[in-house]
This record gives sequence, structure tokens and C-alpha cells, in this order.
Amino acid sequence: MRKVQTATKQNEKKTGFIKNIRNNWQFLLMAMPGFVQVLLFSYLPMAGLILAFKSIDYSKSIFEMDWVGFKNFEFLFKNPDVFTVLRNTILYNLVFIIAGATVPVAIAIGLSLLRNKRMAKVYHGVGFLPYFISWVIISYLAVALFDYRLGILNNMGMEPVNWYQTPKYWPFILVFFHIWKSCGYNAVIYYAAIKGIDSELYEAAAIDGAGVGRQIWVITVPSLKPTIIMMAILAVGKILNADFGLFYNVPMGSGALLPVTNVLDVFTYNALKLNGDIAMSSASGFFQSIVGFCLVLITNYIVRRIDESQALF
Amino acid sequence: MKRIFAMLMVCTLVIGLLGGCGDSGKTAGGKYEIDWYYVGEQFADEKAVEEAVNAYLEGKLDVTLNLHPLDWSGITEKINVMAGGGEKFDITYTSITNYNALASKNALMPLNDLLDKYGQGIKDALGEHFLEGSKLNGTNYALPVNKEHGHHYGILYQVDVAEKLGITEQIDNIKSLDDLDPILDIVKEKAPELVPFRSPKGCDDTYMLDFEHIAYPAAFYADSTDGKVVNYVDTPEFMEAAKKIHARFEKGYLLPGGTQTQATETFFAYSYLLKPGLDKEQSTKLDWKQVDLTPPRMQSSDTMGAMLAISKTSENPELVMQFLNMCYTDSNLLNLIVYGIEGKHYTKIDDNTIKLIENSGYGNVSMRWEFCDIFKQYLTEKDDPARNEQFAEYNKIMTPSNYLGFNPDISSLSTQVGACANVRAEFEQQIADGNSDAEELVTKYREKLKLAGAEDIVKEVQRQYDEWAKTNKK
Amino acid sequence: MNKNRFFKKKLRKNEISTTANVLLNVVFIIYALMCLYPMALVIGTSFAEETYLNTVGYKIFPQVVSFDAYKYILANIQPILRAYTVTICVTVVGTVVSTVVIALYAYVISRNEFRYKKFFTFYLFFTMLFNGGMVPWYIVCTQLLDINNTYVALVWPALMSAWYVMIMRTFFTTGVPNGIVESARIDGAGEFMIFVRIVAPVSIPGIATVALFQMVYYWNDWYLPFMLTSDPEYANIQLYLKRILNNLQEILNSPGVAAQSGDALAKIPREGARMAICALAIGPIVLAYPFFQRFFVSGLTVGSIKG
Repeated sequence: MRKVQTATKQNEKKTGFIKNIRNNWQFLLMAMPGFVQVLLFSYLPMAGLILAFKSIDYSKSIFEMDWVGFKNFEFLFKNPDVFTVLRNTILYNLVFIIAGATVPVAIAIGLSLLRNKRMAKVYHGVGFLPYFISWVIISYLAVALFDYRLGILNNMGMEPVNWYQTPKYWPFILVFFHIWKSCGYNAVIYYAAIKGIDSELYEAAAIDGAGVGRQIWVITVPSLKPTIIMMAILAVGKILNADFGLFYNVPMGSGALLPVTNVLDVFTYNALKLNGDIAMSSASGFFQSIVGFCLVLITNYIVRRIDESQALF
Repeated sequence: MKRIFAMLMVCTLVIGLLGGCGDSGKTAGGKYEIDWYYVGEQFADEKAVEEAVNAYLEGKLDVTLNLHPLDWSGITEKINVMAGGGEKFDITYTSITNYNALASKNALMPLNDLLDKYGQGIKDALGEHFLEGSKLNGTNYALPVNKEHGHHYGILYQVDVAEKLGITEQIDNIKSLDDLDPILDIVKEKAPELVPFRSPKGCDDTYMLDFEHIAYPAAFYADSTDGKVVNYVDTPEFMEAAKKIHARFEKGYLLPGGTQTQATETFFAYSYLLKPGLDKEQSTKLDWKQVDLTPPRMQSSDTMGAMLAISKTSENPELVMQFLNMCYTDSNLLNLIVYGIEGKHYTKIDDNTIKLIENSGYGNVSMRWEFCDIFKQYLTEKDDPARNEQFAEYNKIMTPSNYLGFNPDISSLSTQVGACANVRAEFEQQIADGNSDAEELVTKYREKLKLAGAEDIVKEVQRQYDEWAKTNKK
Repeated sequence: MNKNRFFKKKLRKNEISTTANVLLNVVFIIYALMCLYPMALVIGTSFAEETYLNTVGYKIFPQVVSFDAYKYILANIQPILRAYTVTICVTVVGTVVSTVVIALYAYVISRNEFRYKKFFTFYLFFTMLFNGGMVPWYIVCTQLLDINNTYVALVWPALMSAWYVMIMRTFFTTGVPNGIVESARIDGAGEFMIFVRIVAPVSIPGIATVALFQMVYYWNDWYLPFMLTSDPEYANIQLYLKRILNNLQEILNSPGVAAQSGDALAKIPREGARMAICALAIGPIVLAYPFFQRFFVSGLTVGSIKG
């Protein structure tokens, strides 16, 4: 398609463009509200990306501020913790991506299998609850669980554990809270997708003698696959963006845990808490975006090589 | 792809044109509207109070007031964005947390000329030293709220428990935290339901050394005059103090697992940042009594605890300064803003004491220290009637630090500052909790600070101090 | 009789065995308890007498019941009711409008025959990764659009969500068979008609999912009123509660502030207030949940539309 297009002459391309517009005007019209919305609230503000390379001076406009090159990025890379911070961020996110592609799917399939549909509704609804509890509140619930003196775990008769001073437990605790909070929410997507599957397919499979397990494998999972792949690709793009609320609030500011809880967003927050430099936080965000962008392009390329229909674009 | 980037360029240009032009300020009836941002609750009667203020200002000053209370974490973010977006606002609360950052990035109006012209009342109220402390490069960018001018450290203890155990006299007479051990032993034995002691981060033994913190971790020794900047974590005193905390933990006086989430009622006593009469204010549920341990000191940070700044985006700073001058001098106006309308939000007991009306829909009592001059505000019936005299006395006896007004600009070291801040986040709480071996912990703390570039900060602060001392020391 | 039973069994071939069903139920009951227990803890604590919390910790059934936390937060009921009203109105309007905008865009980029599908997909995707930060966004909202201090500001900036468009798009690509769209097109139906009459009805679970998510977004949002309004009349319930919560946190965490606030600090039922805030923030939205569940039913299949 593209080759043909580049081969045509300039004026032909132009008439082709108008023709295309005319042929697609209904689509274009339908996309217009969203297009304008994104233009206004996402693309116009993107001018702010250059803040990452500027020295903040509030008395000037963004364009008049002085260029400083990559100076705003230095605090990210010229610090002794950079390796720990990046390692934590990436490893946690990898675990989250894997968990995100399995647990919610399992929950959704499980729900769809339950014979009693009323109970399924109850579980479905209850599973959504944790999503509404803010991280600040969850951090206090965690205290109720892990507190040395009054915590539920330390009052179960076992040798008390000094949870908030022992880093080795925390990767598990944080992963648990992440899954617990987000999976019920994400399961809704897959549950809805299962509900959208044509039930005739199952009936046909049943007549062909496929058992429930087989039906899941040949019908349910393949129809969820595009959603799973898409969510995973998008999550790869956020591999350097840590869930600040989780990593900042739940460890309750316990410094002893920082080696396993310090992720990029927490690091940036701590580093900039006092000097409040929006140029440096822009730089941090820019770095996260660029890395994510490249990774998505690569992932998307690989996916396209394997199965073109599953690629994002 | 190319098209997207082309579009980005266009967007960039559009925003650039927008960024240039600011919003023109709203005026009500030809008067200038003053937008005042502060930390506080959103009260139902805010509008009514604003109207009362405007009525009071009628004929005195051609301005109207619009109050904008924000929450703690919100105010920094919103002020940053408004300053960046060139949005008009006039007065904002600021403190040591963001003052330096806002001022050095040109978000705040330099005030000295305005003060000379319209601010005589403010100058009189604050006195010479207090206004000196928050100068950056010799310029004031904010006005401190007139309240207690310094700080000291000490402990608070539960009166009832002490009386029951017969240790009141003993504890009232301690001279330092070192004298506390035998008392805590008694508490541990006879009141096992209580945790004997707590030293919260920021009020623990290492802070009681009262280093004058300039830019973490650069500091001066308390009361020193030699102008020598040190990394306070590297000092032998710091190690000593950290060991004392851990020793207390070993003896079972402290709570394992960190104390940051525990309510104060869990503890028999805790160390704290004090001012006169703090114990009375804390004693609504339990009776607390304070024992003062360090002498009161006025350091630069004390003068920047709560300040009012005028924004660069203000359209009429002269009028705003006149208005602030009125707030600092006219107690009727100030009390209207702080406590609301008499009869509706409070009733008068005598000339200077009021009783708040429960749930009246206005009353900034917990945040009144953000408003100009607490000596000109009413006292409530719960306040110590002698509070103002106590504070005045307190402000008189304390000696201003030798380095008052030295506030270096270390924005060129933002990398080191960021790295050190992360080290601080890792260790400071651990030191205060005292759970781990102090020797080992402090050694690790020092190593990491060194790697993070603490030395650069110390050197830069020293350099700037030497320069500052040349022009500012008499 | 016998034949009937046999027939029933045959029809239920795509159901799991009783044992599996029981096991699955057990798993889900454990899961449900894990989600319910913390919620119950939140509500229990919000009614607990503060002094007992310090000695016994959080309990679902507090030893001594106290309404202090709610009394403290609900002391002024007028602004709270107002804030709830703002939230509910904004949520309803925002959910409806944004679902339409999102669904239309998602449909367009789900159709292979749309010439600019790739461009429109990439155009959207790019914004998921890159954003210019708050300051330029604020300039657009306040100076170009001039929507600060209007109710529009609470709805408009959040109408689009790239993430939800992507989710909706997969619903359309996987759930809508090409055949029926093609045959409708041959019958002369316009794209908009095809969307309304054929695609939307088949995709009700997907649309309901995104509507639910957008509803949750608008319900939980405090950022728009915080950034774009300064008059109290625009404060929604989340902003109102966040303000109380944050002031509470700050007073508790920093000695300097606590030393200043003194009296006010001791009065506040801290733990209780925090949990009561959580309960008040969630409360009504949980009740709206069953409403959405009715759309997650199977049976709205292509077959039923063909017929």
C-alpha cells in the first residue's frame, strides 16, 4: 500500500487524499470528538516536554527560559542508587505484567464457570472493592496486619516479626497488595469479554464433544488473547513508571525497607521534595516515556512478526 | 510518525503564544481583588466572612479579599503550577519547605522596597532579627508570621502516670535525656501497658544536638561562631547520640518495628520540639507536661516556619502590601479573617478572649499561626491567658544565631541534593527508631552520604558562607 | 422422565462438574473474604472509640462504639451534601458523554476499512506515553479554553482516556464479526447507523465495562476541581475529604506543624476519622455497582441480532 502511494506523483497523491477523505468522512466525523479532545488536552500541553531541557524561571514563558541541555537528567543517573532504583522498578513491573496477564484472566474465567450466577455476581462485585480503597488507607490496613505490637500477624501466637524493619518480606507484600488491589478491577475487562463471546461457539464445541477444559482452551482463551496481548504491550510502555501510591505509602516511610521499595517515582519524589524543581520532574518523566516508547515499538514489532492481527499498530 | 511530530511542533508554537499572555485580574466594582492562598479547612461561611472583610475595608483600602484554603500537599503543587502558568494570585503561605525554591526561581516578589514604602507596621511588629532570618542574598521575599521566634527541645510526659508512680519530681528535674533512664526503668516495670519512651524523627537525640541545619547535611554547630560548616552526620556527637537511642532500645524503652504510626498515648513520654505552653495545648485527652531540655534558640529555620509571600503574578503588589500591613497592625481585620464574625462564629468573653461556637461554619483556630501576627489575634478560652506574655518573654530571652540570614542557593548541586535526600529517607527514621546497631548504621549512613556527594554540598555552603560573612558580618 | 433427564444432562455439557463447582466456590469465597475483610475493618474502625484503638488495634467489631469520627467530619453537613451533589452530577454527565466519545473513537480505529486507522491509533497511543506535564496543561485549560471556575472544568478534560479506547477497541475487533457489518453496509447503512444499530448492541458488556471505569474515574477524581477551580462551590466529595485527610496526615507526621496546631490536633479522632473518610468516599459508588452488573450478561449474541 505504502509503496504504491510513494510511487505515485505528487498531484495524484493530493487527489487521492481528498478522495480518501471523501470515502472516509463518516469515520472521520465519528473520530472527531475524541481527536479534538486529545489534541487539546494531550498534544497542546506536550510543548511542556521541552521543560526537561530548561532551567525554570517563573517570570518567563516556557520558551524564554534558558536551555540547560541534559543537566536536569543528571540527578537520575549520577547517583549511587541508580542501579537499585532501576532494578526495583523494572523487576516489580515485570512481575506486575505477568500477574496482570494471568490472575485477572483466571478470575474472569472462574467467574464465568460458576454454576450459580447469583454468587458469581457477588464475587464479581466484591472483587472490585479493593480498587476503591486509596493507598493511604491501605497503608494503615497494612499496619493493622504488620504492626509489631498490635498487628494481626504478630498476635497469632508465633514469634513476633519486626516486619517494618525486615526488607526480605516486602517484595512479596508489595506484589500481594498490587494484585489484591488491581486484579478484581482488571478482571471486569476479561469477564465482559467472555460475556461477549458468541454462546453458539460453546454449544457447537459441546456437540463436538469438547469438555469444559477444552472449551476454555480453544474458545475462551483465544478470544481473550487480543485483550491480554494489548494490555501487556501497553504495560511494557510503562515499565519505568512505578505505582507511586503503593511504593510510597505502604512501607510507611520505613527507611530500612528502602533498598527493596525505592522505585523511580519514589526516588524522584524524595529527591525533589525540597527543591520542587518541575524541570527535573519533567526530565524524569521524559526519560520514563522515551524508554517506554522504544520498548513498545520493539514489542509491537515482535508481535507483528508473529501475528500481524495482534499488533497495536 | 512524521505527521505526529509536525503536529507537535505546531502545538508547541500555539502554547508558546498562549504562555506569553497572562490573565487579567478580576476586579469587583473597580476594586482590586486579593487572592490569598493558605493551608486550611474549607469553611461553609467563607463567603460571609469575605463579605464582612470587604465591608470592613470599605473606605480604608480599595481592595476586596478572596480566600483560597488548600490542603498541605496541595498548596505546593498548586502554587508551582499557577506560578508556571502565569496565573494571577497575590498572597501565598510559604515556609522553609518551598520558600527557597519559589524565590530562587523568580515566583515571588522582592519585598524590601515595598516594605520601606508601605510596611512600617510590619517592620515594627516583627523586629529587626526576625525579618533578617529569611533573607536570600540580602532580599526578603516573604514576611514571617509573628509568633514564637525560636525553638527548643524537651520531653512531654503523661502527668497521671508519673504521679501514680511517684516520679513526678524526679522527671521534672532532669537536665538531659541521659537522666531519663532510671525513670524509664520504673515505668517499664510498673506500667507495662505503656511503652516507656519514643523519640520521633526530627526530635530525637541527634536533633537535640540542635545543629543549625543550612542545607542537608551541611550544618553549623549550635551556638558556634567560627563559621565552620560541617556534615553533621560525620560528627562524633551524632554517632554518640545515635548510640544513646539504640541503648534505650536495648534496654527495652522503645518500641520495636518503628514508631511512626503509633499514637502518642501509647507512650509514657516522648521527646519533642517545644515552645512555651505546648503541653497545655496537647492536653485535651490526657494530661501532658513538658520538661524543657535545650536552651531556646533562634536559627534561620525558625524565622521561616510560616511566612506570607506576594506572588510575582500579582497585578498590584503595592495594594497587597498595604493590605498586609493592615493585617499586621489592625487586630479587628486580622481576627475577622482568623476567627470569623463575632456572634456568628465566636462570642467574646472579655476584651482579648473569645469562645468559639461549635460547628459555626468558620474559624481557623488550628491554622491561626499562618496569619500575620498571633499577638494581635484573640485568645480562645482554651488558651493559656498568659500565652502572649510567655511568648514575648521567650522571644526576648533567646539569642539569635550568629548565622541568621545566611541562606545559600545550592540549586547548582541539585544532583547531590537529590541523592542525599534519598539517603536521608533511608536512614533518618532508622536512627530515630533505634532498632538497629547504631555503630553499624551510622557508618553505613556516612558512607552512603559520602557516595551521594555530601562533601560537595558542605564545600559549596562553606564557600557561600565565607562570601556572605565578608559583607554581612559586623 | 428418563429421557428428559438425559436431555438435560446433554444440554449442560458446557457446565463444570459439581465437585469442580464446589471447589471453585471455595476459592472464590476465600477471595471474596480477602476483599471484604479490609473493607469491614475500615468500617469497624471508623466506629471505634479512639483510646481503645491504641491498646487493642483495629477490630471489625469495636469494643466501644463511638460516632466521634463521623461527628468530626460531618460537623458541617451542608458543604458535604453539596459536594456529594457535585460529584454525582459530574459523574453522571461525565460517564455518559465520555463513553460515547470513547466508543466512537474506538469503533473507528477498530475498522480495517478505515483509511487512516493506523494514524488515528498511533495518534492516541502516543499520548499514553508522553505528556507535557501539569503547567502547559493548566495553561491550555485556563487561558486557551478559559474553563477555570466552571463546572465544565470538572468534566471536559477527562472525557477521553486512551487506555479505555484501546480496551474498547479490542471488544469491537474481537466481538463484532465482520460479516454482519459488511452485510449492513451492502444494505446501504451508514457507518453511524451500523455503529448504533449493530455494533453497540453486540458490545454492551464492553461498553458497560468502559462506562463503569469512567464512572469510577469521575467518582474518584479530585484533581480537576483542585487544579481548575478555586471557589468552594465546585469542590466535590473527594476533594473535600482529601483535604481533611491530608491535613490530618501532615499534622500527625511533622512535629513542627503539630507543635503549632496543638489543641486542634488532640481533638481529632485520628484513626477513626481516616477510616470514616474512606467509608464516606466509597459509600454511594458501591451501591451503583449492581446497576452495571446487569449489563454483564451473556446472550446478547450475534445470533439474537441476526434473527
